[in-house]
Amino acid sequence: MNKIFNIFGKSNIELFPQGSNEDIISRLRLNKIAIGVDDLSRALNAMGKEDPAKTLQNVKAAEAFQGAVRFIQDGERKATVAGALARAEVVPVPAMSNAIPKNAPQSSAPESTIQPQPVPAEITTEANLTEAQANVAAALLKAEQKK
Amino acid sequence: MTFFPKLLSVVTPKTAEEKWNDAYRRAIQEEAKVGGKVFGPIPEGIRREFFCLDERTWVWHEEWKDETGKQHIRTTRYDVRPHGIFKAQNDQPYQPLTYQEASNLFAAAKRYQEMVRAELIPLLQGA
Repeated sequence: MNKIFNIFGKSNIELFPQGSNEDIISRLRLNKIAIGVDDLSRALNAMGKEDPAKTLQNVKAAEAFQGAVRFIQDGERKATVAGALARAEVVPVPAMSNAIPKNAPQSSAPESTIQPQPVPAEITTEANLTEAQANVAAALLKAEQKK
Repeated sequence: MTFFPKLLSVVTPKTAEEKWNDAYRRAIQEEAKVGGKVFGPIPEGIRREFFCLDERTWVWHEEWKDETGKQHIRTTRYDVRPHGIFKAQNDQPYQPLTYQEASNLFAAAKRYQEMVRAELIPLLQGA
C-alpha cells in the first residue's frame, strides 16, 4: 500500500483500485480542496466589500468562537473560561460544575450570572454545537463584545 | 530494521479505521510536500509545507535553522469563515488577513489545487 500511495514522488504509478482506501481518499481530498478553494474565493470577495470596523468586530467573534471550541474540546474548562473572561475584563463566574452541588435539590442551585442568550445563527449552524455548547459560545461572544 | 514493524503488524493487525486514518494522514503529508513547492523553489535547509487540512482550514508550516544553528518552526493556520479570513501563528491569537494577504493565500490555494489534481486525476479511473 505504501508503494501505491506514495504517489507524488514517483513518475509512473499504477492506478488506485476502485473502492480502495486510496481511491476513496483521493476523491475525498480533491472534493475537500475544491470546496476549500471555492470558500476562499467567496470569503475574499466578501472582504473586498467590508469596512475595517466590521472586520475588527468579526475578529472578536472569531476569538470568542475559538475560545468556546477550546472550552468544549480540551477539557481545561476552568482555565479556558477564566482566561476568556479575564481577556474580556469581566468578573469570572464559578464553573457550573462547582456551583451546583451534585446532591443538592434542583431549587437550591445558585443561579448562574451567565444568562442564556440567543445564539448567533452562524455559530450554531457552522459548528453544529449542542445547545449547552452554543450557550457557552454565546456567553463568550457577549463577554468579548463588552470588551 | 524493517522486520520488527512487520512482525508487530502481524501480532497486532490494524483495524480498518486505523488503516483508513493512516492512509488519510499519508495523503495529506504527500499533498503538503507538493504544496510547499507552490511558492517556488524551496531554499536549502528549509522545510516548507502548505496544505488544505479541511474545507475551511489551510496550513503553512516552515522549519529552518538560523546562523547560530537554532531551529525555528512557524506554523500558520488560516481559517476561512463566511465573515472573513483569519490566521493564527504558533498558537497566537487570531488576526484578520489584509486583502492583499488573502489574495496571496487564494492564489496559493488555487495553485495547490491544480498541482494536486495534476497528480491525482491520472491515477483515478473515471474521475
